[in-house]
Amino acid sequence: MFLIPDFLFLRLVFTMRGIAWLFFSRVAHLKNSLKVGRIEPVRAVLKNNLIVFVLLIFGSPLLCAEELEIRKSEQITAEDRDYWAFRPIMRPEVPSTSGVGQARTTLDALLHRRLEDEGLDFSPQADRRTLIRRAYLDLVGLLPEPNAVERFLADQRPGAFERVVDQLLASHHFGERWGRHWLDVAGYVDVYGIDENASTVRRSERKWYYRDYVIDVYNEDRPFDRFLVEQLAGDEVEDWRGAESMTPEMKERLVATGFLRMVADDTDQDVLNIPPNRYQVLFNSMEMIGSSVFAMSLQCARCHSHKFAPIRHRDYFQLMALLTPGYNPDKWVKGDHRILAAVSLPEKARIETHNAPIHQRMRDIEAQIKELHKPYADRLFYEKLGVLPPEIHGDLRATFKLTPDKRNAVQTFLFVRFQKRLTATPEEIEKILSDGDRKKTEELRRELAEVSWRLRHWERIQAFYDTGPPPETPLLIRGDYKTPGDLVEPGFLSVLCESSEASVLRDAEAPGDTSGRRLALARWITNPDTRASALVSRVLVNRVWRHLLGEGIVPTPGNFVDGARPSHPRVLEFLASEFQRNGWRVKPLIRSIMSSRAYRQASRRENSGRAFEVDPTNRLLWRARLRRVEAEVLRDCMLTAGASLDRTVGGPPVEMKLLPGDRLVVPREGQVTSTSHLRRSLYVFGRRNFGIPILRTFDQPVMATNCHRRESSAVVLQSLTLLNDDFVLEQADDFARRILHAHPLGEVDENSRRRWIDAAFEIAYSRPVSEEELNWSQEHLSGQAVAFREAGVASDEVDFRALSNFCHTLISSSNFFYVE
Amino acid sequence: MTDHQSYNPGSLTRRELLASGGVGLGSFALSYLLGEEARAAGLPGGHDLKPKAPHFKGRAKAVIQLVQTGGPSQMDLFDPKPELTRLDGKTFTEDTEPLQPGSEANKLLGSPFQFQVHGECGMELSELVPHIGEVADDICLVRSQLSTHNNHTEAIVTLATGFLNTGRPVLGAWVSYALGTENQDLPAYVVLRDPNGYATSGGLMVKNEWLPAIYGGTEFSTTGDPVHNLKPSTPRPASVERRTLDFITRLNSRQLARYPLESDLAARIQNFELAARMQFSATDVLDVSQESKYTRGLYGLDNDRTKSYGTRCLMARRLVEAGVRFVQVFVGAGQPWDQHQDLRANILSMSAGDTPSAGLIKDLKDRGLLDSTVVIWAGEFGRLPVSQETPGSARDGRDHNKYAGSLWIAGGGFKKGFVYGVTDDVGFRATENHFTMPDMFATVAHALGLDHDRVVFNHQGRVETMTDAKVSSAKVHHDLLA
Repeated sequence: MFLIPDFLFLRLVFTMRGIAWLFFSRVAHLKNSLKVGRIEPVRAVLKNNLIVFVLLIFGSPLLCAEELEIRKSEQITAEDRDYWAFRPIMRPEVPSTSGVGQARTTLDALLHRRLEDEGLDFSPQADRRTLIRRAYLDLVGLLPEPNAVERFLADQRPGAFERVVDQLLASHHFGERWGRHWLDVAGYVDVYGIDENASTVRRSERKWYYRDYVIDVYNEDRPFDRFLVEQLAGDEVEDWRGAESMTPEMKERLVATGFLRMVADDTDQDVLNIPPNRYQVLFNSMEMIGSSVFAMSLQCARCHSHKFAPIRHRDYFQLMALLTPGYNPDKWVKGDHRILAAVSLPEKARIETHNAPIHQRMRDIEAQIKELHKPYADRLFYEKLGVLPPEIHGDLRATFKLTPDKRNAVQTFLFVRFQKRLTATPEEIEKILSDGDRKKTEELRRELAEVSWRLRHWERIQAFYDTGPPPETPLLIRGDYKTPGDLVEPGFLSVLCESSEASVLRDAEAPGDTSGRRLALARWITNPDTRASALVSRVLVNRVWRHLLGEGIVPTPGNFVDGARPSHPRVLEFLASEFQRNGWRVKPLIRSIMSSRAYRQASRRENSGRAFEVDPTNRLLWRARLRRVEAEVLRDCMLTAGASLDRTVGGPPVEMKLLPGDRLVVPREGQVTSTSHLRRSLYVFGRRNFGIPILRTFDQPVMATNCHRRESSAVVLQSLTLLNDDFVLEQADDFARRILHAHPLGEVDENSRRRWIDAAFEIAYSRPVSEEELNWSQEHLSGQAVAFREAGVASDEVDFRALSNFCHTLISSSNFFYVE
Repeated sequence: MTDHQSYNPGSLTRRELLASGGVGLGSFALSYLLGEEARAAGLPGGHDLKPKAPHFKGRAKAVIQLVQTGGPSQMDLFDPKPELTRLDGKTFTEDTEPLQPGSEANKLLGSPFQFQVHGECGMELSELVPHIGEVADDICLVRSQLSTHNNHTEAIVTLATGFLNTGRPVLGAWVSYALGTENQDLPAYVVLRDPNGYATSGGLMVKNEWLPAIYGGTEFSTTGDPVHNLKPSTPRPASVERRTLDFITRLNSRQLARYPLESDLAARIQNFELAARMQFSATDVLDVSQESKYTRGLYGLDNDRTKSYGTRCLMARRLVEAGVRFVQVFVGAGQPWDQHQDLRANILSMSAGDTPSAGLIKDLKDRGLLDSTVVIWAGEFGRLPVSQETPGSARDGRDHNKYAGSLWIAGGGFKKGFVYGVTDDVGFRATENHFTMPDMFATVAHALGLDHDRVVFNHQGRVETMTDAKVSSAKVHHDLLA
């Protein structure tokens, strides 16, 4: 197609001289393009076809203009701003849904147009069992219980599926499932720092408040524009510094700014609190914001104007200047000092006033105890001294009588060396107290406890906030902090503004002692009139689409530039426009996608020959995609199969433990409650590089910064985990116990086994067992029972072991962890 | 232009027929056939680890990559600079672009270590690496390594993938994609890292990215169990185990029969079989206690300082011997060659690793494996000739330097006792035969019988090559190959 204009042109200048000139100039141009871009499609053709080679040489300028061209100028042009991702949203004309094949909704009509162009149609609707399982896995990430499946099958009134969807959207498990998606985008972990040592955990205190906040936002379906404002500038919405009291809303918004505290920050360690690391925190935060909100990798523009994307070197630092009032590299606040008291200053003062006499009273009581114990401590001191050589007794007595400030250097040395050997421990004193003094001690301790109960405390929040007046932000030449260039004004990305001048932020303001720069950013990206909000909406709806359909309309959810193309531009525009119309709410968006035939169609298709031929990768959605569930969903489903899941929502993370050989486990012991180890996977302590095998081998991401696209690998370590991991085997046991609870172990025969098999298939696969599977299962159960018996397993255990093994095979097979 | 057009729709019916017969046919054969057809159809994921023919006959069959993160100091290890010693303390005239503060004075720092001539080839090496000296006649030393960036993260990504920005597959993934592997009982690409943690850049160093997942690095542990969950904590009787696997295979085959085009489902069937075989082979392969005292000594297993890295080097040899295609060994967690201060003390503790590295060469040679195994010893960049001063420490640290570094490659058809590349008088810049990471990929590929430019993968419609040579200018350095 791109060849035609050049052909006409060629005819006009068809002279030898013209050809020679054209040839060489275009070759030079092509070579130039090749240096910086992707040329493989070109190359493949070059090899195959000489004619095409010639055509391509002449056609190349147009081809290159598509995506290969290195940017000639630093300036952002009107053409740049007209890129599909940066344009204002163009709501497409909505085609009628009547008479277009199997379309149900507007969305279907839009999708169907593309299918129709290729002579294709949607696949038939998936059966009800498949549908309800799909909906459960997508919306709450748990297996449907067999009775929920039965209810749905029995519900013959219209709108049965809609009712299931509504019920799942209302479940608090929805926020857990969908909150996890956003936690990936934010790069949520429970540690500071780059976390590269398995045995060293540098725990970031109370970071999980942010995780729980995200869950709440999804469960309550709070508008996403507000969600973005709170995460980027929750501290600038209201003046919490000067407030009379810290309201719950203020606290929550401060928690939300934890979003900007997610990247690795090692500066809490003094040796690492150096400029390169401070800047790295800034640069990584820029990358996290760029990829999560704008779906653009900004990192190239840190060193120079981006070679392919329309991002100027200056844009990078304009945007970074929005963060420097909070992350000021020259007046750095270390990571572990960015923890706010969740009370206002007056409240803090009031609490301190309230606590002062209590503290005084506590100190008095402690002094009384010490006084009471002094004779005993002295006695022990002399006893201990007696063991040491008599020559040093005098010096040590003198040393230990003095207060620290009175000791000379030698005495200080002596004190340090002998402190442990001479000082009596409380336990030692306790042992030798007289009855009367013991009683007195107990009374004093009781009083101390009673008094301390009256102390008032405040919560502490990991937050992001301006730590001082905005510093000057220079552009860094080659992205190096040691070569600062011109100072830049704070601002936005020019390509998302009407002009480069308009990208400069001149009038930031916010209530309280803060620059208001981030608030301006947040308002800009959520103001429906801006190009930025159009981009941000596209980015968000594309993510939702990906989570429900398996692949984004734009296949790279974290990168909308660098040549990415939407498969269905009109669908993207329609959804983005609907999203804004519905007040940036996610639940209506999910509901509308799940109402469509596109979502509800089957993933299997008989006679798919033609569709497969035309569109082998199913980009046009002629069937639903078969998808492997994420690591967390797999683990959570195993917990549901065994009915052992602890459904507690929120709270401190579930602890992991490192066993020898670098093996991480979630131990039963040492948790908040006796069932905490059975909680959902998103509550398991989050680390960047390490995790438990069942999660790690199933592609739980390495959180270097953040994650936009979960891998769905099929590697051998997964098979080993499924076969042998203690967690999987324990869940198989629980699954077996659950079945035995409903169908107790009596005389084991074909009939009792049949009941087990039916129950197990309903629980694990949400469907009845097939004839073929029934035969295999019977054979397996009886065969394993014999095998266990022959291996010497006690006869009263044989049937349980066989059943548990059967359950184990069900939860280890593909049917269990693929969404059909 | 894509492979899809070569797909013959007629075979789909056949495939569906085949698939509907599912379990009747041997499941392995079925998945194999499906994989073949999926590949022919250009489907994503229709891949396996079976050995594949190279483009031409190469000397090497396997690769061991000894990853030396941190930036080993070339002028203290491999690149003697008498002129630097003479100028010690003088101000250097060039801008060295240091990364960290401390080098502002730009004072040259001569190496505190002596160099000696080694082997018949007369290779000059420092007293820090006497054991490498013993194998000087077997290695090919490159003194003109050129990096892309002065920061660890970027430079390490380049070391791993050839490119500065993340998102491309690592060398091990490319090699196992191109050649498959000899031993079907073990993964094609095995990663042995320091049990204390990942190298800087974490898991990025082992990722297949958009190459199919079976080509990504499989991590074996070198403490405790080599592979987690290789066996259940409570052993299962053998007959129970076999039935378990068979039943899973039946269920999985049924699922594959229902979705005959999903090659991941086929891969799972293969993986359970591989997992079953690994339970026996992996334990055996990784059991270094089977090695003689002499061999263990060769790798420094008798010394606490070298034991950890030595164990990984020894396991690497056992894996290659067993037919694994690519083994990646990390010298340590984080970036241990990063001597910004107290060079003398810190580099001494690192250079102990020369025992296992040299031991690996000797051992491979003794076993006749060196000719068919490429051993790469390389970090992400070199260090500066000027001293970096940190308050309170001795005047002997060095900052990063992307303009010159030294690395060595041995075996698999690389020249023996050969020195390549030259740096300026003080070792700041490589002046001849610049050797970039993409060049290294291309040259190692050549040794394996691969043309780096013809190792192609269709990634979302773009045909990617191993080195993206048009962008990276990767080229084979034939001078390095015998």
